[in-house]
Amino acid sequence: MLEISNLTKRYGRHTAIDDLTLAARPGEVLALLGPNGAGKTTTIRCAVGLATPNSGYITVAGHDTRRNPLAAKRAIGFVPDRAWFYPKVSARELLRYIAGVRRVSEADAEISQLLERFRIDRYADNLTESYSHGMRQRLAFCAALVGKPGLLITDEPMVGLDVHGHREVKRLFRELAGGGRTVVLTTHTLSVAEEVADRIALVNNGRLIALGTMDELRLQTRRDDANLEDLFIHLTGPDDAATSGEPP
Amino acid sequence: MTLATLRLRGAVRSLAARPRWLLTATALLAGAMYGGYRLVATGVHWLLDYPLIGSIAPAVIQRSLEALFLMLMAAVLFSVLIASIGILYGSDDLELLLGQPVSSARVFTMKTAELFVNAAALPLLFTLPVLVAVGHAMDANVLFYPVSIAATVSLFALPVTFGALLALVLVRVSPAGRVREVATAASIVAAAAAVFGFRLLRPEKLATINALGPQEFEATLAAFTRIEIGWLPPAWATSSSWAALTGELHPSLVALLLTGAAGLTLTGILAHFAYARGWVRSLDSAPAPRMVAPAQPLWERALLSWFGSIGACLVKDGRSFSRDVQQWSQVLVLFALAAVYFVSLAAIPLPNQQARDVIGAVNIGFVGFMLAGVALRMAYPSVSLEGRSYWLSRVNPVRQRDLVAAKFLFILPVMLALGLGLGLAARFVLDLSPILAVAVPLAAASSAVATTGLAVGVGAAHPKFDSTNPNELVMTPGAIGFMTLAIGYAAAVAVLLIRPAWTAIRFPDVSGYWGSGEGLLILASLLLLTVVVTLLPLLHGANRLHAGEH
Repeated sequence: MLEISNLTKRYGRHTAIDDLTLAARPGEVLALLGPNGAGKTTTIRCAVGLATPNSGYITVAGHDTRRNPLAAKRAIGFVPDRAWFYPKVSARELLRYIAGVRRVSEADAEISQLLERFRIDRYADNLTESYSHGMRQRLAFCAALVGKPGLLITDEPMVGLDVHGHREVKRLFRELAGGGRTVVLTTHTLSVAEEVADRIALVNNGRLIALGTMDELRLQTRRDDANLEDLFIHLTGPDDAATSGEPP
Repeated sequence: MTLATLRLRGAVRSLAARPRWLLTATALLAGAMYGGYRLVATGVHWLLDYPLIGSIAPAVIQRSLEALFLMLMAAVLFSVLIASIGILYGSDDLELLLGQPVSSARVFTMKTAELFVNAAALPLLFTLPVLVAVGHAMDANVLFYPVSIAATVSLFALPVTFGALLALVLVRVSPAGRVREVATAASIVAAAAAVFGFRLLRPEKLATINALGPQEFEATLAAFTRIEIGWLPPAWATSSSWAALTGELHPSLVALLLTGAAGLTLTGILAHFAYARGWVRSLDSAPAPRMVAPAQPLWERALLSWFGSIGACLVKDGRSFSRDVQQWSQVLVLFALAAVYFVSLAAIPLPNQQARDVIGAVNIGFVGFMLAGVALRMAYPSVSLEGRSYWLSRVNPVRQRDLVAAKFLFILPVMLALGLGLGLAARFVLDLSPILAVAVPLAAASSAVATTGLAVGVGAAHPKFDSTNPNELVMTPGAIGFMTLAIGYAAAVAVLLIRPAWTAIRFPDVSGYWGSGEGLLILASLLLLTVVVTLLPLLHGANRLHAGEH
């Protein structure tokens, strides 16, 4: 569903992603993990069209994101870590707008279902400027799922969500994967990744340093009883700030 | 580090990040300023050398300077009233600034300075070449330059201070829960009132032309020199500048500076007590009303099915526009401007067809300039108004070309209505001769289309999605570049239509001109120029937007 091949992205002299190759299959939840500045968000930004790679290519559902960006974008739903919406439109109107640009006909029923599922149906006709951060995050999920895209990409999806929201999102990920769709998520909440992800991709300094299921990662690192946090520390090395003795 | 230094450093860095663009914008601005200088210097020399009116020429120049100051002060006041609530209370950075252990009066001072730059910087930049030209042409004492510049800055500071004071008061008295909306609406109504106020000064008196003979022309100019507005600050600025021509300091400079200082002090004191509280008050919004889920209206469905993503963008922009007081209230101001323009045209006493045609011909350039000013506020920021929500257009299957086209199509009817309205008003009110009866509305409609395309396109090529408020956008290098190009277009249209205008003035009864070879060639050239000036910037803007990472 998502194929990233030899992706390199530079910002001036800084190389954010360095020759990254990665694939997410239909029916799986792939967690993209790594320390701050590892290149996770940049990878996602390249995949959804918010950044342009310097080299390499990305395909979504067989569509090259550079050559056929519209078809690729139709197959992607994206939830950013901090979602902003047009302040003077209501949630329902926003979702209608998205349905319009995605060419989803007769979308009202689907929109109502999404609003209900993410528990913002009571506020669906209020302007989004009155929404709290958590409500915006719920709306971002609704917006990403309009038109039933085959690939859902989420960047820190749990930020701002309450306990109900956490549970709903985890359930959603498994449900989507169960239906043959693909979910790619980045998160610093390792317990979430451990709980919902089929495979874990670990990036550091813009490079892929490990990829596999939890068992495969344990095997690779020869740590049979390690949890994801142990593996993360082992594979990415100690935190520079923590070892340098600098105050936090 | 002071707040102003921080802000200045940010501005310098953002300019330095785009050196090529900065260079182009600077070159365009310098060119426009030099052009203004040459034009004024030539005019002053011509007046001074004109044999019949040599004796009253200095008085004519002084009165012209006074009229310019009056008009620009009115323009600054107008801009200030439109932008004040947005800048002083709507800026995103206020949450950070007022949350710091910094006096709220300091924050207010910085925001008022921002308001000054926003409203007065462009008029100031266009006044400077006029002052230098007058000084140079009249062999001014070296004192003239600093004094006239100080007087101009102080003069423009007065409406800014007034606008800031009014904003302080409006935010305090507006009903809780709707403070920002009501204050913005009231401020914009005040802007429209200011335009009408300026109208009450009956500026058409300055344009009274009794005949076209040299003697009458001199008599008209002599009458012009006797018009007194001594009680208004523009007269103070003129008197102090005029005295400085010969190296003297006029008491009106002191009056101007003292008035400015008193206004600033009063505003500072009030801000100390009222600004932070007012800002907190402005944040309170009325509880969101529970709305009934409406079915998607038919017009919305029609737009979606006919125009696809362009239609979706139009629907979304339409809803945002109708609910954002800062956006829709600008249309009220446009109507006020158009009404004033209409009444003013009708009030100018013009004795014969030639005089009417002269005013009609001048109107071609004036309408172009006016439309450029309107497009700067309404069309240029349209892509940037996507703001932080722009990511939605990037990650969804929306062609950036469609987004830009939707912005263009959304603004075009308003601009076209204004342009055509002004053009047709001139045509009927002035009862223009056949050639100009076609040329004037046509030029106005072309200007409306071209300036809208130019504004949306240049705005898309230089978007600023992270501006703290939309009013910031009109002072960016992109906006200055747009204004320069738009004025260039207006000048090109005027040049293109000089020949038919001249023919109309000389032979008012000639008809069928537009069916002649020359007429058709000019029409085709105007059409080509308009299409190029409309489409090229739109395509360029869409391509830049597509290639950019925002």
